[in-house]
Parts: sequence; structure tokens; C-alpha cells
Amino acid sequence: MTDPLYSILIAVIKAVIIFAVILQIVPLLVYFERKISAWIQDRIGPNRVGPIGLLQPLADVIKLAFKEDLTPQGADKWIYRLAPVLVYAPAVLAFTVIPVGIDLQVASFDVGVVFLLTISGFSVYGLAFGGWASNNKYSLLGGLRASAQMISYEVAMGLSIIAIMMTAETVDLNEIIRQQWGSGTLGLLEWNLFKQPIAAVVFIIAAFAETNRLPFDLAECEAELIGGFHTEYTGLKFATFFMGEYVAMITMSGLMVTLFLGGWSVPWVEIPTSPSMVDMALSIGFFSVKLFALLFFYIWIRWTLPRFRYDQLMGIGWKVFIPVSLVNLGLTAVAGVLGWKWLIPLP
Amino acid sequence: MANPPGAREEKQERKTATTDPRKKASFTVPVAKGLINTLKHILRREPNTIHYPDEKRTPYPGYRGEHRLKRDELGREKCVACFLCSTACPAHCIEIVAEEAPWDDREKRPRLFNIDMMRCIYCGMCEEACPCDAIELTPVFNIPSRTRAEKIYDKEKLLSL
Amino acid sequence: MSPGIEQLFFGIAAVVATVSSMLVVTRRNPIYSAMFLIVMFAAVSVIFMLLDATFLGFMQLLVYAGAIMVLYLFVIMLINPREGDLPEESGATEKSFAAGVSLLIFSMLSFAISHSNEVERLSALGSIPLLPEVSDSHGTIRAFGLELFHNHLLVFELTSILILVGIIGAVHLASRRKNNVPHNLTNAAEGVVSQDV
Repeated sequence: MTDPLYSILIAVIKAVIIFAVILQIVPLLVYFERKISAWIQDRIGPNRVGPIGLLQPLADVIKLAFKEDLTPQGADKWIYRLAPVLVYAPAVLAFTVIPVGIDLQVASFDVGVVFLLTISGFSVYGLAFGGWASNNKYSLLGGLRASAQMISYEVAMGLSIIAIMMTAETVDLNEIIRQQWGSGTLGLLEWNLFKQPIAAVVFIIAAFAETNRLPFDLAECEAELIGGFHTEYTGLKFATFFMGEYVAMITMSGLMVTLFLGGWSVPWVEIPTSPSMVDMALSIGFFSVKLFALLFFYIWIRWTLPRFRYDQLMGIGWKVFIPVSLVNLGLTAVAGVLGWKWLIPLP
Repeated sequence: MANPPGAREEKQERKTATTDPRKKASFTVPVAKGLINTLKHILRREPNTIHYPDEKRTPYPGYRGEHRLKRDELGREKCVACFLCSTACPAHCIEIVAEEAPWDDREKRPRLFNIDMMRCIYCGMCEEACPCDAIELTPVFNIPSRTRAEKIYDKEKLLSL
Repeated sequence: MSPGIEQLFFGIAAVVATVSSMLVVTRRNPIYSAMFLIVMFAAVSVIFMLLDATFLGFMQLLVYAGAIMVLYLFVIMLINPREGDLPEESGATEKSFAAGVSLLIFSMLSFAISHSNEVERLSALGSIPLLPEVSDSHGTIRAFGLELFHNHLLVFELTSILILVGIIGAVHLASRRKNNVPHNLTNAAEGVVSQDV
């Protein structure tokens, strides 16, 4: 076990599995998104390719792969090529620290949350560089908006995570999950969603903004910016952008599950000290169910709300979320020092 | 026309909530309402769309599709080449060349009767203008063609529809 | 991690940091400069992590590469300089002057380092001994916080006051000054302003 080669091998295998699984979830998610959006709009949705249209995403991928790969005139070729990767890579990388089962994650850092926050913030460079390199004014505007939006909401997001870290008194994600476990149905109240409701709401909304999803997809904005930063992208480069967006969504949902919804644990099942294979599989199942519930929430919101105006986006970010999360942080700190368990339930 | 009760209040409420830029918009309640609304649609699952090529929708009466020329009881075309339809046509898509009719009950008949379906706006003015009830718009809307030339219907095609 | 791998990573990070910081200066296009600056920050944070200061490394990445550089990028993209808009590269005189100054600073620094007490003590030993193992808490958030809020509390608070002053200044500069509108503009602007508020 102490052999470094052995541990490296294990890490590589885990990384490959996670990478492959995420890659498989993305088409499934695209399918769900199209189907749910169809239901919301009283349509039928994809149903031609494969049984109940399940192979539709595959057909889309094949179509994208065979499209002509265009580089616009006057584009900065190197940055233009680099940008989709810069969106996709951070999203996958960030997922490595999320525990998907009992103590099961690709990389276990002692500062997992900080790592995740840092790396997922990097995807903005992909949008900004991609928008700039396309040599198109709409793309440039999209990139500009992406960077402004990301900065504004990263602050609120970080502050709400700090509040969680203060209640948990740790940054170890597995430890945070263990603290959210309580026996019986009342154990649900141990979830940080109920212990830190303000932080949870702020985090969820900030996550929408961070992943550039409606109602905060001002960087894309089909109506005004014709697709924003990815206007000029075609074929597989566009597909990479697209997948990056969906992987970021999965990563953010995974983080939300971990921080607010008890991660891989459920209140009705005891956390075993030495987990067997069955326990492992169960915990992965719980995590997946919660993950998909949140992903459904993402899609549900997207097809319900219209896009915010740019000034509304900035107004909400700076004038509502940052002050609210600051106040929440202050209350948490005071409650922590004075031991006010009635205000913030501390461990 | 009697407004349903409460319609006026609803209108008032909408105005203050969204359209007045000086008022701070509140998002919580509208967002929750919207979410419940969309959830209802997800759960209800009554699609308004159909599987088009498999199921066909029957057009409503009065639907204006492709044209046809009618024949009388003797199997002759009813058209007397009076040019009223081509005069009435706002898109100028009807081209008629007349010739002398071999029959005693009318002076002329069309030698050429072309309708450019790519220009036609399916307004039905030709049908309105026709004094002999010779041209009409059928409910057929899905006759494809590979070239533009194919979409210029001549007399034979119009009579055979 | 074994010392060999550690040295390898250090070597890579050091080379990347040096080369990319040179590229930051030499690239004409500011977007490229910004990009290489981000690479440089990443390399420096790797060096922090190799020193067991994981938290500090990530903070470096989060604050500089993740936030400040995004702001820089925002400004650069707002100006959006294209090849033709860039100013003329300065002449040979300026370049050689800059090179001379850099060389001077470099030699001063290397002289100071090579003649420092620590280096003299180590060279007297003949061989560089391995650094003592750090405790488990080294570089963790707890150790970091204790250091910041106990041992360096005054400095920390002074810094935050400085930042606060900066924020107030920025807010003041950016705020709408209704009363300071030049006199001839007041009448025209009044209607707009009162409608706006």
C-alpha cells in the first residue's frame, strides 16, 4: 500500500473511471434536458433515434464530429484552439475531489473545497479567451460578460462556502458529509440545507451564474449575442464547449450535494465504519440520485425562467447576494464564538 | 363583452410587478409561481404536437392549400380565361394565355394556365374573383418538389389535382 | 512524495515560471501577456504546494489567477487592442537600459543571497542537509489562520484597513455626483437624473 507506484496506479484507474463516467453522463443529461424541455412546452421531444429517442445525443455527437471545423479569418489561431479545452478541463478536474461514495474520490486533498472553487473558477478563461480569439464583436461581448459575471458571483459563492466551513469546522468534504448524518427521518434536518439555509440559497443561485446556465447565461445569450463566446465555433470545438458547460453543471451539482444535501449518506442508513462492497454501491447510488435530482432542478429552472437583464444580474450579485452572505457569515461567526446553538446548529 | 371577474385586478397587478422600471422587481414569488406552472406541465404530459409524417392533422375547413382547376359535368375545364383571377392576384403568380373555345357556350378557354407556387401567397383572392367557380384552393399543403420549375403548375397539373 | 519526484516537479515549475514570466514581458499582445502571467501564477503555486503549503498555493491560484487576472483580462478585452493599435516597440536605447537595470538588480540579489548568513553556514557544513520534517499541521488552514490572526494580527488588520480605504475611495470615485455637475449642464441633466433615481 505504501508503494508510490501502487498508489499512483490506483489514482490513475479512479481518474479514468470518473472521466469515463462523466463523459457518459453528459449525453444522458442532454437527452434529459431535451425531453424535460419538451414536456414543459407540451411537446414530445426526441423519439426517433433508438428506443424513446435515447440514442439522439449519439446522433448529435456524430453530426458534430463530421462538421467542418472552421477558424474565422483574423482569429488568433492558438488561443482559438485552446479555449474549448480551457472550459472543459477545469470542469472535469474539479470533479476529482467530490466524494461519490463512502470516502471515495479520485484525489483526496486536505483542502478539497478550496481546490474545487479555484479550479472551477478557471473555466472563465476559456470563455473569455474564446470570445476574444474569435475576432467577432458578439463573441467579445460574450467573453466580457462571462468574466464580469464570474468575478461577481465567485465572491458570493466563496462566502457561502466559508459559512459552511465554519459550521463544519473542517474543509474535508467527507467529514462535512459525516457531520450531516443523523438517524431517522428527522436526521434530514442535519443537512446543511437546513442548518445554513441562507448559504444554501446563495450558493445554488451563484452556481447557476458560475456555470452560465439560464437564467444567467448572459455570456451566450442567443437573442442578443447570437451565441456569445461560441458564435464562431463549429464541429468538435463547439462540442467541447458544450460538454464543458454540462460537466461544470455536474460538478457544481456534485458539490451542492456534498455541501448541502448530505453527500453519499442518507439518514435512514447507518454509515458503516468499514464499508463493504454493498455499502459502497449503496452510497454511490444515493449520491447519484441526489445528483440527478439537482440536475433536474437545473433543467427545470432553465426552462421556467427567462434570462435576466445584465444590470439585474449585476444588481442581484453585488447588492443582494454579497451583503446577504456577508451577514450570514458574520452571524455564523458570532454564533460559533458564543456557542449559540439555537441560531446556527454547530457540531 | 363581459370581462371575467378579477381580470382587471390581475392586469393591474401585472403592470406594477414587471413593467414599471422604477419599482424594484421582486423575484421570489413569480419564480415560485413559474416553477409550479412548469412542473404541472411536466406532470400532465399532454403534448400539443403530433408525430407529423406518421399522423396527419386534418386541416380546418376553409384552409387554403394548393390550387386546383375544376371541370364541369362534361369534363371540360370550367375556366373561361377571363383573367379576373390573375388581375386579383396580389403576387402576380397566375399566367394565362387564352384561345378560342371550340364550344358554343363560351368564347374563350385557357391555352396556358400557369401558377407559380413559389410566388403564391395562398391568399385565396383568385378563388374569390372567379365568376365561374373554376379555381379553388384545396386543403393539400404538402406536395414537395426538387426544383423551382416543378413548382410552376400548368393547366394539366392543376386540372388533375 | 519521494525527494526525486519532488525535485523533478520543482525543476519543471521553476522553469515554467521563469520562462513564462519572461514571455509576459516580451509578448507584444497584452492578451498573451495575461495568459503567460496566469501560467506563471500557476507555476508559483505549484512551488508553494511542494513546500507543503497547499492552502497558500491554492489561495495564490484563487486570488491572483482566479480573480485578479480575470479583472485584468476584462480591462484588456474592453480596450481590445488589435495588432495595428499597439504602440511602437521602444528603441534599442531603452531596451539596453532596461536590460542593464535588470542585470544590476539580479546581480545585487544573487550577491545578497550567496553572502547571507544561512548560505555561509550551510557552505561551512560542506553539504546541504535535508530540511527538518515539518509538522503535520504545517500549511493547513488552521496553522495558517493561527499565524495570521495571532502572530501577525496587527499587520493583518492594517492591511484590511488599507483595503477598506481603497474600497471607499473606489466607491467615492464611482458614485454619481449630482451636485458637481458643471453649471451649464445642470438644467439639461436634471430631468434625466430625477427620472433615473
